[in-house]
Amino acid sequence: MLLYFGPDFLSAEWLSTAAGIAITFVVFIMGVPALIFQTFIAGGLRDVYNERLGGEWSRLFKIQLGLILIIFLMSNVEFDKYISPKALWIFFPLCVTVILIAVLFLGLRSLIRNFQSSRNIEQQLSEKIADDAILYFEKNKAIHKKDLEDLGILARELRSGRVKNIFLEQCERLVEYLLNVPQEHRDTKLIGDILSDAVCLSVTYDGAQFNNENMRKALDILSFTYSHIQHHSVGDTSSSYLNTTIGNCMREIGIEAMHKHDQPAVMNAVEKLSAIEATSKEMFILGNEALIHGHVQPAVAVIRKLGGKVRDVIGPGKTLEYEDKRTFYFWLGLVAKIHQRGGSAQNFAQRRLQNVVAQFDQARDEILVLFRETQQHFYQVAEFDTADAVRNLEVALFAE
Amino acid sequence: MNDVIKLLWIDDNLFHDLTEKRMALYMEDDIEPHFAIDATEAFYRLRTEPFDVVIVDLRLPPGSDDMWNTYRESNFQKFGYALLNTVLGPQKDQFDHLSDTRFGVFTIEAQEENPELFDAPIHLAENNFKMKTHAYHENAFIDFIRHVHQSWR
Repeated sequence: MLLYFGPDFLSAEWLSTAAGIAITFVVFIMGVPALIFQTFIAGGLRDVYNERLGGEWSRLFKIQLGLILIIFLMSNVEFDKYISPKALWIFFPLCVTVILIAVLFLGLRSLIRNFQSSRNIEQQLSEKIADDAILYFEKNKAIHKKDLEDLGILARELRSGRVKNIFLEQCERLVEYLLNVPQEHRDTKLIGDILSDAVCLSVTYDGAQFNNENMRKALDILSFTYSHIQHHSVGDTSSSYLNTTIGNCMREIGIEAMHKHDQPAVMNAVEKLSAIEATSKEMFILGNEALIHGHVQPAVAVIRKLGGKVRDVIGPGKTLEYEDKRTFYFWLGLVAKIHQRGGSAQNFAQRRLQNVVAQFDQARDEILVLFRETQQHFYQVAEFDTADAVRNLEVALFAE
Repeated sequence: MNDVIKLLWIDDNLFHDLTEKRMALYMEDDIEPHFAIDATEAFYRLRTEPFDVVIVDLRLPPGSDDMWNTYRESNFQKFGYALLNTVLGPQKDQFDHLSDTRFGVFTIEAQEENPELFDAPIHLAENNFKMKTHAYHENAFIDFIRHVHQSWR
């Protein structure tokens, strides 16, 4: 009970009691959110949270401390000399009441806000980092290193599922913003860094739990970035770096999905990868990995995708460019590996070869050269299994 | 080699409910299948590549691009229709390479629910509309694609 009009008002005893109550209150309103914070937020995110969203606590603490100090000052500084004696009876009780209401209101508001915000800490963090990164870019035409690092931390630490999808949506917003920057200021290296260190990492990180929706979202962001760059750039040579990054990310996601036995995500990765230029190697790696793990369907899809590209460029007497030759090597390597499985798989491989080899009936030497080059290519990169498979296929087809 | 049908099938269920039909397409020698799972992905593929046949599901998700915002704001659900309307309507000039492409619709809805498909600018042939049913066999679907390929738009 506050005794405003008693003889002890603002005396030493009154002040020590008031200070005790105030300290208890401050400890309560600071302590409860801290407890909630410890309970709800993952260990790895605490530093990021404190840096990005934790500033309010110290501000509140300083304000509360300041208000309590004012009460102490009122009792120790002789204000009454400057105040009309008629107003003196109401001045001190009114000031103390206003200060106490301010302390209580600020404390209560902070408590309620902390309770409400503890439910979506990860979402708030994702939004805050993306907002900070955009703000920094607007001022400096670059992304702050700390923002990229924090995105990487979130990519690793966030739970898979809805929370990670929200994080990926924020990454998408950031990438979209950077893509819409005028071409002379656009930094494809930066976009590539966000794609590999945040988007791709969030679904391929070792400790990440598997979630099909997250995989799909990550692939969508990669695919959209590629399409956007292709259709909104004029003569931009730096986009080849981005294509390589996107291709590598898609391959990694596909392989990760394969290890988690998520066939739809693997097939989605194959499909999206096939729409990107010069990714025959990544497609081969994905198809080969699928065969190693006993999944034939992704390998079949890769063979059909590469086969379509091979069909468009190959023919007797045609000179193949380097990239087209590589596509042929990877296609033939995978067909050879399917062929050596025997049975129905062999039948499928023979049907795929039929269209290509039949064209070279009158130019057997040309196709034999391509077979030898393919073997040589895989031997050079120590893919001995594939080199042997191509050799066996050559023997099976051209034994005579 | 012109007898191979280059197909783009756009459906968000391709990697789930429609897996068997999708795989069956890979096994057909005369079909080169490509797939897209939302309107944005399909739009960008159609802008760069020629296709002989394009099969669209009407209830597609829009995907990432802002170009669908006007449809989004009016709570529009049929982004397959929005895609067809865009490709064959206002932005037709950007899709000259699709002048010989045949379009078909494979969707859960009935033909009567979508009369706008058969009017300008889409002018879909009635036989190029097929309703999805759980009993629709893979071979029947492949025949539908061949039928669309031979049709006149």
